Amino acid sequence: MIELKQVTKSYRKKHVLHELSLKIEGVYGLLGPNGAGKTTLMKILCGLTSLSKGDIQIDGRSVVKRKHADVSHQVGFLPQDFNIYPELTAKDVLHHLALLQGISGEMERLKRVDEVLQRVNLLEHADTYMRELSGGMRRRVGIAQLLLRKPQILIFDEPTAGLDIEERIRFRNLLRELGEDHTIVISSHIVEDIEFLCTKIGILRQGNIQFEGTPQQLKSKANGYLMRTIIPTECLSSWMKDNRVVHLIEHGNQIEVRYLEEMLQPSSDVEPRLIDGYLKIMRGVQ
Amino acid sequence: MNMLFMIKHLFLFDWKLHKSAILLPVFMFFIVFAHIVTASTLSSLHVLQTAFLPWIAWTIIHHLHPLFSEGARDTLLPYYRKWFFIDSIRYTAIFLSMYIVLIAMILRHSDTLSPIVFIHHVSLFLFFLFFGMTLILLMKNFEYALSILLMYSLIEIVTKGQFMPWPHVFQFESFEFDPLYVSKVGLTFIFSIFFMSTGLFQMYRR
Repeated sequence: MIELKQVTKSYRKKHVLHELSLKIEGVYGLLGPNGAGKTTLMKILCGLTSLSKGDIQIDGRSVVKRKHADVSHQVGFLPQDFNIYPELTAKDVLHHLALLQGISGEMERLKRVDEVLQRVNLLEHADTYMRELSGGMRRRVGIAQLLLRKPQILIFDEPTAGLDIEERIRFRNLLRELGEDHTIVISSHIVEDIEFLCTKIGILRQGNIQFEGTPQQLKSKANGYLMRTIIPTECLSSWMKDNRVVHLIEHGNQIEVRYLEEMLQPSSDVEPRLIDGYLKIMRGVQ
Repeated sequence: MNMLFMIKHLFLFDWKLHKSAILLPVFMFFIVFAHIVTASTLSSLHVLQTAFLPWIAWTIIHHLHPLFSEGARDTLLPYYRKWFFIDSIRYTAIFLSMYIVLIAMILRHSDTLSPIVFIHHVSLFLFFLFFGMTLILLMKNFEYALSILLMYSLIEIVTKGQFMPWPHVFQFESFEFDPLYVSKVGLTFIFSIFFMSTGLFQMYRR
């Protein structure tokens, strides 16, 4: 488990993260609007960025040394765009990175590279140039290079952003599989992915934590606030101007409109989804 | 044995990654060598400092270039930090080998060279190594870094160090020990330290 205690990050007297305390375990999803501090938090967690104040503990032991998380052996970070050495094949890239990581024995390196390519389901593309791989495949090479050094914690920044539907599903399944034997932190705008993958969720807004808990607890935040009505298709345009609307479900020439009320509605009987809980929290803050 | 294997791998990797571009300094070595075979000591020393030593900047700029592909920095920077010392040593070893051959050819004509010439060459090497490193790390763009390097070197050579109030690191007068030459070498050394600090700060800051 990763525990953040009062972690603060400031740039020029402005708090990007403000006294953040989190308990990260299982597959942990970070949600929040742009500029909430998700990427900064992830970079702090993997030691790429310093923290201004606070402490980070992994399994009860502090890993902060001179304001940096000293976690290079424990944590692997996959940035949003992974695009290295486009002129080389995936296998060449992994061999090189394995060597830089200190796997010097050639047989061991060959074995490890094959293992990780197998794990990310890219063995048949091992000899394909990085520039010829799709975005999702390149990210899978990114995961493979993380797995080479066997970290216990994997951090993914917007892992499914920009992927086509098939690739996104494949990637999501891979992350779920990795979650069985790693602690995983994922930041995403795609609530559906977080719902599918995560066992715990944290919501950040302007560097502050707004919520931390299970997906079920997040959904329950919208309990009693969600209403629905059935409207004819012709009335849709007037409803579309209403900011409360969160879902539209088509039933023939009628549309079921689900909307989120600000005040508790005793008559509400709609089962909330994760996105409803998220919106309830974000709107509550506003 | 392991270290030798790794160094061999790193050179082969450079070749795979940069193809013939990484061999340009070697190509320049042969051109300078061909010139030295027939030229006077003075001309040889001019060509050695202006047409051979600055190529270390080309090498280091090519080496650091992959850091600035989109999305590569966060992944590669920790490795480049870890291996920077080894990388600097291996490039220095290659340049030093070529330099020894060129100096031996020059010494064929003249019995001796003033020690200040060797100190100047060391400072020039360090200057261009860290100047190249600082350029690519600050510009974060391969083309800009190379353009500035070429512009600086060419202007210095064409104007014989008389243009712009920036450091004039090449010597175009005689290579004898004299206070002006010593001050130029000192200045080159000071700028090497300045670029080394700036470059290493850029490389290791988080």
